[in-house]
Amino acid sequence: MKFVHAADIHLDSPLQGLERYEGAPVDELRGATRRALENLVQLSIGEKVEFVLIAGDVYDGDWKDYNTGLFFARQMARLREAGIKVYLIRGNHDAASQITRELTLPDNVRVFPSRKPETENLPDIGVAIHGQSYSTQAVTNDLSAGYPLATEGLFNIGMLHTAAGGREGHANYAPCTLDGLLSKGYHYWALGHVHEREVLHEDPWIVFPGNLQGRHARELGSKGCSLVTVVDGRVHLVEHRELDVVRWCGSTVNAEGAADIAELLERSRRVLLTELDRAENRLLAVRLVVHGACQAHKALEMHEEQFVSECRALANDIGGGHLWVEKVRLQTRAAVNLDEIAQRADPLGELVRFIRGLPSDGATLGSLLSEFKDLKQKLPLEVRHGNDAINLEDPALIRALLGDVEQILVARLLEQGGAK
Amino acid sequence: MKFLKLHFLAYGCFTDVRLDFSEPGSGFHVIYGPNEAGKSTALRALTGLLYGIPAQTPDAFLHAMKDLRVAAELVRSDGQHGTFVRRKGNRDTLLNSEDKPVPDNLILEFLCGVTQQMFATIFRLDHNALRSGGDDLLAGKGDVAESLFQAGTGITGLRQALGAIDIEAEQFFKPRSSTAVINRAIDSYEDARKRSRDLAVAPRQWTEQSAALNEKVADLERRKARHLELSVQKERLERCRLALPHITRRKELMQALDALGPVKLLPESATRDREEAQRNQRDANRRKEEAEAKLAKLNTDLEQLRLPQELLAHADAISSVRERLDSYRQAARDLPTVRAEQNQFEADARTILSEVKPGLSLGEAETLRLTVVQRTRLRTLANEHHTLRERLRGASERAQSAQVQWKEKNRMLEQTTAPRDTGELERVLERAIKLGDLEGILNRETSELRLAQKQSAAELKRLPIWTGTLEQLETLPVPAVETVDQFETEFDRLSNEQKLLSSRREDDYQQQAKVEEGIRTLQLGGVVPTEQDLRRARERREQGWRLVRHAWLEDAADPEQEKAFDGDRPLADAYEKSVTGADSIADRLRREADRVAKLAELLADKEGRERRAAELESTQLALTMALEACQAQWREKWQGSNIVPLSPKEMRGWLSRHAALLAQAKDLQARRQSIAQLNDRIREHCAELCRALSTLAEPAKNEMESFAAQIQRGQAVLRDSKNAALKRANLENDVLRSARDHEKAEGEHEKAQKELDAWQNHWQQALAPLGLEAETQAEEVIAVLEELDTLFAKIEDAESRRLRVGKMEQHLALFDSDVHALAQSLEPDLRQLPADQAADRLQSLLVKAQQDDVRRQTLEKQVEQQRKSQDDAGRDSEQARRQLDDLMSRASSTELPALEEAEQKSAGLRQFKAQLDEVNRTLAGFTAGDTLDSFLTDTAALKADQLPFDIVELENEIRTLDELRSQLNQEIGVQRVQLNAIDGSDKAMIAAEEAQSALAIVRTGTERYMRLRLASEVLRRQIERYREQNQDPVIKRAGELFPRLTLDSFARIKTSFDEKDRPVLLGVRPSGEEVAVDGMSDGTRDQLFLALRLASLERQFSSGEPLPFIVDDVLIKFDDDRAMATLKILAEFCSKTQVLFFTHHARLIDLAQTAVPTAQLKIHRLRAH
Repeated sequence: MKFVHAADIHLDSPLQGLERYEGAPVDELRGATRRALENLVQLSIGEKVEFVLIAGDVYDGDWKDYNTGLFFARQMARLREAGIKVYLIRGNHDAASQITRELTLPDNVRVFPSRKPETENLPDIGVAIHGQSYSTQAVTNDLSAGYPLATEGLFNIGMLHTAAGGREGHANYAPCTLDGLLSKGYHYWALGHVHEREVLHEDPWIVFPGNLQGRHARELGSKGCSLVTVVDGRVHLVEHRELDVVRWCGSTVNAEGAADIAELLERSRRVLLTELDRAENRLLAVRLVVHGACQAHKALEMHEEQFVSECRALANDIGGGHLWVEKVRLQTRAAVNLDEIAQRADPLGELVRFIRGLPSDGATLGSLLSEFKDLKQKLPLEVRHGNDAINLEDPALIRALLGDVEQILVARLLEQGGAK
Repeated sequence: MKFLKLHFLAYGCFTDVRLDFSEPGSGFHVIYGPNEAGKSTALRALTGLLYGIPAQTPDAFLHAMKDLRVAAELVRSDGQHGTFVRRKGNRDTLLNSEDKPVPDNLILEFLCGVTQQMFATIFRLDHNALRSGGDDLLAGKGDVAESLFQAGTGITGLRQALGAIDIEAEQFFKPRSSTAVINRAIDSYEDARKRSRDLAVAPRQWTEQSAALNEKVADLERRKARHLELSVQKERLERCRLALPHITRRKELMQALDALGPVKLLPESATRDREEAQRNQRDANRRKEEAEAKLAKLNTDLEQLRLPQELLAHADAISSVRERLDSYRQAARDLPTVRAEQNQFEADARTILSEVKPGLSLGEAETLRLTVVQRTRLRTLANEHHTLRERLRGASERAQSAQVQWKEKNRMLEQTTAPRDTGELERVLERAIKLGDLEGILNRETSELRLAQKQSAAELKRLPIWTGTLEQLETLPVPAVETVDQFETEFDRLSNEQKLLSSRREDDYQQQAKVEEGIRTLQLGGVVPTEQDLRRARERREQGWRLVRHAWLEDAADPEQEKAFDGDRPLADAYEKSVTGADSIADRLRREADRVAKLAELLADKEGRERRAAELESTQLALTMALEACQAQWREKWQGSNIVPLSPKEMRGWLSRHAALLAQAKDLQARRQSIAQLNDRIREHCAELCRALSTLAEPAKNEMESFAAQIQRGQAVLRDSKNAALKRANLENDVLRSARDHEKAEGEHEKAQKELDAWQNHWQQALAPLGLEAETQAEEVIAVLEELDTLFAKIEDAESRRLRVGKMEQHLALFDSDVHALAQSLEPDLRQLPADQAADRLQSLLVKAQQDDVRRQTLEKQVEQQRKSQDDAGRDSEQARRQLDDLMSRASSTELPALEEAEQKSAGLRQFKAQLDEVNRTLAGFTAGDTLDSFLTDTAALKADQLPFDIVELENEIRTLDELRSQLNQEIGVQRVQLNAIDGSDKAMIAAEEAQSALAIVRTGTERYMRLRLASEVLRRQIERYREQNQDPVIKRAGELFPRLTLDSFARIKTSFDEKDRPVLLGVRPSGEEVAVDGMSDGTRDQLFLALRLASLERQFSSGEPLPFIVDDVLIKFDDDRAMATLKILAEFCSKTQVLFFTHHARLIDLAQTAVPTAQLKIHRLRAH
């Protein structure tokens, strides 16, 4: 017997951070979460699984488009045609979603109630599935404590949307302990909520399958579901199956000693080729971090946009529509020793010392922040809050930028003088 | 840092050019190179030396890239020396004085963090920089902050740099721009977000719409049912109305059938069958008559036809003759030509024969014919002759040359020397090389040792309390750390106790003060009586009473005593007073019991505290003594090392530094040992190598030669020896090879001679059949052979013509005889004609006879056909008659007219029945599935007049329903379209993705904008800060220099504020007139900048390590007086740093000699080599 365990589909949640540029594979990337769900359905049908488990977060909490629900229902209907049942628990996002309340799902989908845990016995294939949905967005008690003990003689599966002992970047909902889960005597715990794939325990198995599709540069690497094979009432195999349409990856380009932009582009090309090779024909969203001290720093600093465009053109060239350069982060340094310059008595030395003294100078930081009040008024709320927020009232932001400022000024002033 | 020496070993136009700056006291160096002498090259070489020669250099025209070399000796202000050589290359370009690569940071130590660009801007001044500085002053309108910053760094174009950053930042963001990157992206973001919101369908909206639609659909279904019901009713009534005329017609038909009576029913086709049979009978009779007439005519034609049977019998023979006729005529034409050709060939053959062998007849010519073998052999031999001759000549030449070669190699071999045995040297070298770069390691270790020694010496110097050498330190008896710990614990304990004690004493003291304060307070409220007071009062009363008793009862007054008791009063009063006093005290004691008790308590407390204070005092004393004893012990522990110890804690720190120093001493010892070992090994291997070299008769060792050089030399000797041995072996091989070559060439020569002899023999034999002389040349024989070939060809051609003539004559005779025989038997008249004409005539007769025969056969076939037509017509007539008989028997009639009447009746019956069926069928169409009978019964019950009105009423009702339905359908359609538009589409999501994409641009742009904006702001602020910190001293000093540079055209510099309140520079004339920078001449502005620049540099040179100040032809636009003034100021710089003044104006040398004190000045002249 086989079944599929998936979670955190976050259907129609848009991919973040992808600037569009000339030649970017926009069409290929469109609706990635939908394509990933289609892949899940295709895999389930192809592998002839008995049932599919979805451990919460089908939708994205604030997304209100009913079309999304219809699409999901349609995919579930495809599973019904193939005679595959779906067992679903609602996660924190589903509890917050309006779609959940209004949508009727096909009759092959069994949604576990939120009032108390229930058990679905499938005696013909020897399986018992236990599960409980979220009734509200924030569930802070240990739901697993209320789950019944394993049903004797059946293969027992527990479905739970939980942060387990707490995971970075995820709200600590329905906290539970490994021992608590193991004490139920189940054969397999199908968990959801944490987007990174993780096997907490083997035999009995406790598994976070991760989300189906990475949606931003913090959700890196292969994404998909777990395909579980059960032989003689025991887990025989738990395989990770890749379903993602777009894969996120972060690569570093070592600029150490690079003489000019052409050389850096060549190094970037090699890095991109390596990543392409690894992606196995999948669309790739790459963040390039260029770092190191080099002669090319000056040119790079003054022509940053041009370099980024050239990197992207390069990606178009070698990627054949499979490569999206999400961001090029420049962390190069001038090939001069700033520490030594900082010790000098001339104005340049004083400039470096001034910059280095700024982080502890609250008053000046405050006055520098006030330079950005026009920008602050204009910036959308979404930029100033949430993940990767640019908080224009936070002196720490200026502090973080001062290292770059030092590099910009030294490069430009020396360039100016060196031109003589 | 200063340059002591510069040495252009090989650079640009220089070869081995030396500049010496080391003369004591000299600080101002004029380096003079006229045009083309390489002043700029020297400047480049100087930078190249310090920072490396750039990959692309224009200075490799005389010396190759790899050979470029510059050397220098440098010294730092702390006295550290360094000699470096810079070569052109990719790595290891810096070498020390021994040409060994050294790391770049050795030279960077002399540069103190000054990068190449800084060196070029800060420490160098040239005419262009001066001009740009002056221009920048004008552009900035004398802005003090900018001018100072620029003068301090030598950076020009600061204003443009700042402007560029601002412009770049504005490309990202500007509050009211619509094109800046961030502004544009925000617009796109808002737009996409709005679209996404508009495209999204709220889930509740869908549910509600869906419910409304379902309600409408149900309503529509109900109305449809009613519509159906009414339609059925209406349709039934309409059917009945339409059926009514047909019901009437049915009744009429039934009546007509009854009127027809009994009828014999004939087949429907009866009349048609009869008429057809009658027609067939007539037609058959006509055809029979026609056939008979045609037969009679054909028979007549046949009888008239006559055929020549004999001619036809010989048809084949005639045709055969006719076919041969063409070839007969051809042969007759060709015969004379062939005869002529035969004669021609015979004549040619005879002519050729007479040339080859005169006197021989054609018949005898056969004796000259050679077999193929003989002919081929002759040709082969003729061909071989030339080859053999050539081969012999070649072999003889090669034999001679091989001999010469062999002799030459032999001579060379004799001249080379025998090889030496280098086995030992090779082994020694291999061992030495295996050890690696021992001297390099030794150098490194030695320099590391030196560094470590220096470090430990510094460490040692920093070690407090004690002075001495490291060795003394090693033997210094110091207590163990454990002892220090023990003392520290003891000291801590004692000091803690002391602290505790003094805090307790402090407490007590405070309490005591409090108690005393309490007593004082109590006493302030009036004296408090005590028991003691009472006792004293009572005792006085008793004493009084005793005196009273004595005086009163015993009458023994004692005036002395009484006076003593109270001298002022008589006894009675005094006693009374004492009684009152005692009573009053007793009363107060009772009345003021609280205060009394309080005072008693306070007094008791005070007493107790005073006692405890005394105890603490003694404890304190004991502690102090213990502490002193402990300190004495502590000092004693350190006595051996002659150290007066600090506190144990400090001494523990001291001990750890001491231990570190000991470890360093140990490390130093280990290093020294390692170096000694290295030295031993180098010496040992050196000796070994010397021995090996001397056995090879090589010089053993040069005094100055290093181990590595010795190894290199050893390797060179080894390489040379091996090369020589290899060369000799090669030569020996060559000698052997040329001997072999010589021998081989001789053999070949001999073989070629033999082959030529054999050929001569064969040639003689081959010529015999032709009867030719043995000396006949090959070419002549070939000519004879070719002539013979032609001769035999001619003879053969003549023979073939002769045979052909014979055959042709035979053919002509045979044809004549055949034609003659045929004519004889068929047409004797034709015998008179020539054979070919007779054959033509016979042929035309035959053709005529064959045409007649064909016509006969056609006629006979036509007769046959007509006979068959006659028979068919008879049969058809008979069949038609039988059909008529059959029809009549069926109608039971014997005559044709009776048959026709029966046919009419039968047709009538059939027609009525058909009409009735038709009516029934029509009616069945109205019954709508009901039986006809029940329909007729139902219809009979309806009132025919009422029907139309009922129908109209129903129609109205249905029309109303129709309108309602159509309206409902429309509404449902609209709602369906709306709902269907909600089809799971991803449009809203795509718009959301677009919004995210725009947001990403906003983020990236914001980060970049903030960096740029911050950079520009920080730089502005720093420029302003720099002004605040340096304005006064720099402008003051520049104000002193400026009058000198302008030859007192200006008196000083001052700062003022412009209309925007910015501090700006002004020049002040001796008259007090103030001149803004835009009012100054170009030259004056340059001098103002120079004054600022020099003032800034002076300030910088006073702190930190100064670098040489490079002045590159800055005075070219100055007149002599101003140049002189400038030179004087530059000369003053010598006290701060070295000044290298590059120029290509000889005039400036003269000026410098006047302006600069001779001791300081040194002139260097560059000469290109």
